Amino acid sequence: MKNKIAIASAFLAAASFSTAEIVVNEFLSFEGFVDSSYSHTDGEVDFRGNGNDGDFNENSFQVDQVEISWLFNFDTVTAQVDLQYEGDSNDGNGEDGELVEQAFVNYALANGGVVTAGRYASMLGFEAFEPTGLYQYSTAYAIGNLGDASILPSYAQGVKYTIEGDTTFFGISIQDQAYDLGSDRLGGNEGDSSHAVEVAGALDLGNGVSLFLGGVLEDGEDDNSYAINAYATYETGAWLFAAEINFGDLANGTDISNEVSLLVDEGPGGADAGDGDTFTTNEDVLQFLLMANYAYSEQASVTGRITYSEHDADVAEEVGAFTDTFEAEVTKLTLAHNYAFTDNLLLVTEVSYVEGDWDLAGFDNGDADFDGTQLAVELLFSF
Amino acid sequence: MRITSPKVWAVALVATVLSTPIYAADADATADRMAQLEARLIAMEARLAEAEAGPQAASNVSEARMVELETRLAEAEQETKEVKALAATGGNVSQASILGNAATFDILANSAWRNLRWTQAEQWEAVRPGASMAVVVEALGHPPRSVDSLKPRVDEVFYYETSIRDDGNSLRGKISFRKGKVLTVQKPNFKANKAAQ
Repeated sequence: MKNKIAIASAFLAAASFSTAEIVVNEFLSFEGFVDSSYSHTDGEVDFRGNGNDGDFNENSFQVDQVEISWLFNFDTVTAQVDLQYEGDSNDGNGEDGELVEQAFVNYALANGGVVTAGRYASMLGFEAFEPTGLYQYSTAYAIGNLGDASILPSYAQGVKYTIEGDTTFFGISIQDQAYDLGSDRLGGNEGDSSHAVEVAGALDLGNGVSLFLGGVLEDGEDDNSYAINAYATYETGAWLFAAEINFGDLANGTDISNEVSLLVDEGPGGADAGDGDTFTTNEDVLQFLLMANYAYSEQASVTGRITYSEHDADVAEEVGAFTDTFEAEVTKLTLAHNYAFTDNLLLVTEVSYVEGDWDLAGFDNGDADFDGTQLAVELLFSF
Repeated sequence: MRITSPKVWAVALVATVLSTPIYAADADATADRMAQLEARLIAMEARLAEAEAGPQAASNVSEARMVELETRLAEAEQETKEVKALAATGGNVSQASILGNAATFDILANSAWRNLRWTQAEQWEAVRPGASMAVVVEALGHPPRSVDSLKPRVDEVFYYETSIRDDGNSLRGKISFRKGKVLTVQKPNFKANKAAQ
């Protein structure tokens, strides 16, 4: 697949208005996809210094995501509403599986720029947010049961301006949040509040080479978070190569650091340090991915990917004065095969191996090594 | 409104019984309209040629006026092509089986806003491997359906079809793109469609 690469991804994210669609009438079209998968995960956590090691294995067989995009076109004004089911969309509280993934309106200016308002995806990141734009089943920084190590933002509400030429792209977004330091407010003085600015630029150097650089800063009431994202792609013949690097400082920590500190706090080693749940703050992260994709036929391609992520955070506790430091390193290796039966039906098979270690020095026996393997088969239908 | 086979059959039946004189009248009206449009087009072309040729005119006619004339000319050309397509279809309806023409009838009945250029075989002549997406849209109009292909060497596919279902009477064309250029072209089977009529 080649759906979201380099500068094209920036342009798609900027315009956020695909041309792929089933046209219903002059002003309304639809597009969407159904994504289902089977996966099996085997993993092991080896706590250094005690015998409370943990093995886990689990299967998952489900419809992961269904999405239908409503595309409206009124000449200079276009709009898009993405309605989705994503695993737990029906959990009742709507926190983890939003029904409305995106809803925004674009206004095309005379100079070629576009002003977008509403809820939309971040411009940052090489990898697509949707499975239709990925080269594998899993995303680069997803570490199985331990959560997601990515520091890139996802969706936010705000206003952005984008402009693109034949070989350049620029975008700036003013939004309510990037890392949930105080979402849904965009400033103000009622409770926690924040605002974020995201800036991105891309350049197509020709000969298949393109570069992307972007960053996001969230200014919260008490803390700030930021991330820088850069990636380069090179496409030659049936080959696509990509390299991405991210670094940042997140006031709330990443998923993986919070998951691990909780796991240790409540873990089998009886490491609970106090009365409340632990959480991480001020997390410095450096991560990168390297990827190569080769389309060996009209219908099939193979992809290899290496991901590395390094984390350094403070650990605190909701109740009590316990503090600690969290350090972790994670490496993920992924091999995937894509076979397209037709233009809109794809079978993805993947095997990925994750290994790493973490250090939680303040806990008794808080240090551990871990590894895991995941096998997955995914069927993707798009329209 | 979704077009289903029963609906097409029903419409076809009613149309067979009632519409022969109506179609004849429609065909006359369409022919008149086409003649008017062509006359307007010729007049407009002449005015544009005058504007472009005369040095005095060049000084008097603003750039905006020129652009406006060119836009109107392009619109008139497109409208003429579509009226020709309608006229051609209308002429066939009275002579051929409605079922044989069901595909085009679908469009006429419920999707008159659609661009019909792609239903004319000659419009596909410019669509060759290597042509740009803009050339395709100019020649055939925007596709009724398109998809970001999941195949590794294809970016996007345009479908020009009167019906998604393969009912044997439909016109179906398909163009795939890679990096904005035509990769493959699958033209509608105009001969078979005519034979069916």
